[in-house]
Amino acid sequence: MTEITDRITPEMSEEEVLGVFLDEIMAWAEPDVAEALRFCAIPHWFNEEIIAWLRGEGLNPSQRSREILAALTELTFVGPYHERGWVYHENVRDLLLRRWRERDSQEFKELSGRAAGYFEQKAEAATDAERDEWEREQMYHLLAADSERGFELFTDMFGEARSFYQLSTCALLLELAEEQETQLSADDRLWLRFCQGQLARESAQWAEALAIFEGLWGEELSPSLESALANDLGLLYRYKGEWERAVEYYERSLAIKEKMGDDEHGMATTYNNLGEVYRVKGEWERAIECYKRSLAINEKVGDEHLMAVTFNTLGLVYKDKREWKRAIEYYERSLAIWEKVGDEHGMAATFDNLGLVYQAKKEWDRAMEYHERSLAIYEKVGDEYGRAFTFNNLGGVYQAKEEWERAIECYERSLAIREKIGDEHGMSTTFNNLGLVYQAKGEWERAMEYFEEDLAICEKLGDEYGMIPTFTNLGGVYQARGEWERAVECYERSLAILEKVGDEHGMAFSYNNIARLYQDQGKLQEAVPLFKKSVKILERIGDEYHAKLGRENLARAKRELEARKGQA
Amino acid sequence: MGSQVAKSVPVGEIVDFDPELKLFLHMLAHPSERRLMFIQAPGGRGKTCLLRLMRRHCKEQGIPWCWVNFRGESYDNPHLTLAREICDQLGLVPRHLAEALLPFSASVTEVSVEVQEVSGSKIITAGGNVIECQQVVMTVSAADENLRYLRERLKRAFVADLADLAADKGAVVCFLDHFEDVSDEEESWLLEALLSPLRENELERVIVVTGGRRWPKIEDWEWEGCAYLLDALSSMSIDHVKEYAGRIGYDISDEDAHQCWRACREGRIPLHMGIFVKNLKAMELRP
Repeated sequence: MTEITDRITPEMSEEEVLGVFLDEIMAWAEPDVAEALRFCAIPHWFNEEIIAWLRGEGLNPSQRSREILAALTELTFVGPYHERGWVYHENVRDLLLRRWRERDSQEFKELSGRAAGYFEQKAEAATDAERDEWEREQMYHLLAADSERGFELFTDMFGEARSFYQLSTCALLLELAEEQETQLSADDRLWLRFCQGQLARESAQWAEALAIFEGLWGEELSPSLESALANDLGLLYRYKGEWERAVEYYERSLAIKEKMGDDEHGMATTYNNLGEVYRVKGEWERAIECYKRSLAINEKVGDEHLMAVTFNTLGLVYKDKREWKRAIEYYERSLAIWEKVGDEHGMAATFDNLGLVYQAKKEWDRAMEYHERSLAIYEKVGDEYGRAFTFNNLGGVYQAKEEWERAIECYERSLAIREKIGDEHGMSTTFNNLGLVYQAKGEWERAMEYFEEDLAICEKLGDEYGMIPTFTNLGGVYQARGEWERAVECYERSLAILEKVGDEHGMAFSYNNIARLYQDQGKLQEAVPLFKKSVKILERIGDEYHAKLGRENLARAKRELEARKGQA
Repeated sequence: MGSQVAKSVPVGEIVDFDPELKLFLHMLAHPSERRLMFIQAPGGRGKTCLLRLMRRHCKEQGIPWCWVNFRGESYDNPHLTLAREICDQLGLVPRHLAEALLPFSASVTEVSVEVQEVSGSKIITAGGNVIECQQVVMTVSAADENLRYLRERLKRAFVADLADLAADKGAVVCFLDHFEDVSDEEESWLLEALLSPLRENELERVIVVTGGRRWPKIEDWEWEGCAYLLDALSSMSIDHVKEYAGRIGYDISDEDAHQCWRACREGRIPLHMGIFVKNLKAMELRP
């Protein structure tokens, strides 16, 4: 019987069996091949140059290094890797590395440092297209050899990839850093978890992101991590519609940053985020205060792009406040910067926003003039998508003017472009708007046809969220026709989606809508609990403006109910 | 980057994988039935080798194929990068993809942060019933909308290009190896642009085989009617052990072959078998 089988028992795990096999190979291989067998587990892949480098020969492989490579490639667990070299089967590499770290961590670190040096040299000599890959490898090995420097490189690379929305690269970087997690300091491990949460958030995996962030919040954090985490928790709660909690976290983030005093850019971002929550809550003055603080920082650090964005946002707030003059003033300041830096996309967007202010002011001609200026830019740069967008906005002006035929004409032009370029999401929007025009004209059948078209596209695209307003609008048509049951059915379908996606703010609106429908039918017993539900949510998430309206609705329904009981 | 003369005999190629290959051949012969095969198994079971055997069949039959190995690779913005990788490997000139990019070539491709308010984008109102508001106009980021639209457009262009090629060539096969290393972004694109269109019969004559420690993130019950879901691979027999030994020039005894087979979890781990037999041979040669 062989010696190997004597050492294998049925109780051994797969990994233990593999360990026995590998020990056997090490035993019969020539000493320098056995050594290289371990060395080559360090990099993710290897070739004769890497073997030579790890053996201390520099970048010029000796004949012996070539022979070693030949010996390694005869092993069954070695295979080609992306036409770059060779790679161990992952089971083998994982086992070799784990055993090595456990048995001789100092040697492991030294070899990792040597590997980092190799990839650093390659990165320096590489073309732009190849550099990222070499740098990733350098970072990976530095994490083992000098974790502080390695993690610094990791955070730089992760931040850069995230800023360019390179999510797969972010995922790969995280995977590499996780492989070396045991080498990291406690603080860096917490940062690593934070990065995992950030990637989950960017990938719209909110539940996962929240679980990571909330888990981190209970840990002992450095001030810089705590402020970054607070800001990102604020962002997440804003997405979820939990505004009070969002505000709470943003303010904590700002307080820490202020205390630290070395992150002005971060403060400007958090002020913008906080301002956005106040804006959607209708707390205009607080929103404006935040944006102005952000603006002051942007001016100080000379970030013109962010200044233009912030001016634009201030314009939006003043438009919401119906302070048209100031809204226009801020949009124009934004426009001046876009013009100065030659950002035509920013200009077109701001022209559209100006058009919307004039539309709200019922200055139809000026509204159209601005939308047309936006249209001219989109035509100049050949942006069909933008053209369709602006025709849709022009349709909105005619719709507001109750010039139904012209509104229809604009929407149809938008629709034609969207059909031509295959923008199905856009088509869904325009079908919806056409439905609303026909609804306003009292042409219920046609309105329903368009809403149905919209729904069909949303269904095809799997865009459940897009169905919410359409079901609501369709419900509105049935309600207007006195078809109560069908109206309720539509509202409930809309509500079901809102519940599924966890949009609490939308749910509050939806409960209110259904309650109103019951109220119209005189079903006050059904209406009152729904009004209550709506108010409860609005109060909890901190939308005081709508909560107040909801309370008024509830009080009215209760009064009606009491009066009816009195009559009875 | 160094010589690449493979001297070892890929151990997984010894295994017949008969049932799995039969399923694959059935998919090629009857693409209207099922066009997807998802394979999951722990490391060392021969997943990559099985995919290589399938690929060899494609090569022999002149069926266009592509092979994407997700280990150590990342495809940011996969609607463009991964789509191109697949097209390039298939030798496909992506006419629809190029057309889809045309409207963007002269203008905005940058993702910026400005907020643009869109009138009537989706007016959430039911006859003014929304908490006494006349209208709630959604505020959206134009950049987000633009990006979403671009992705949708590229996805459909990719599907169209692939469909054209498949119609022309009769069949096209995509092998996706090391699926456990696919990022969320890549997986989401693969589901939208490749796997779902196959499930929904939008793409005909295109076959996809994934191999990895996990299947794509799917609801099994939703896919089992249109995909072969394999969560184990065929085991080796003692004859396979002997065949492998013979191929590497080692005359193995019946007893050793049987011991080897047992040590490899009764033939379920080809990786271990290869190392075992090599060790036996080395021991024999050892002075």
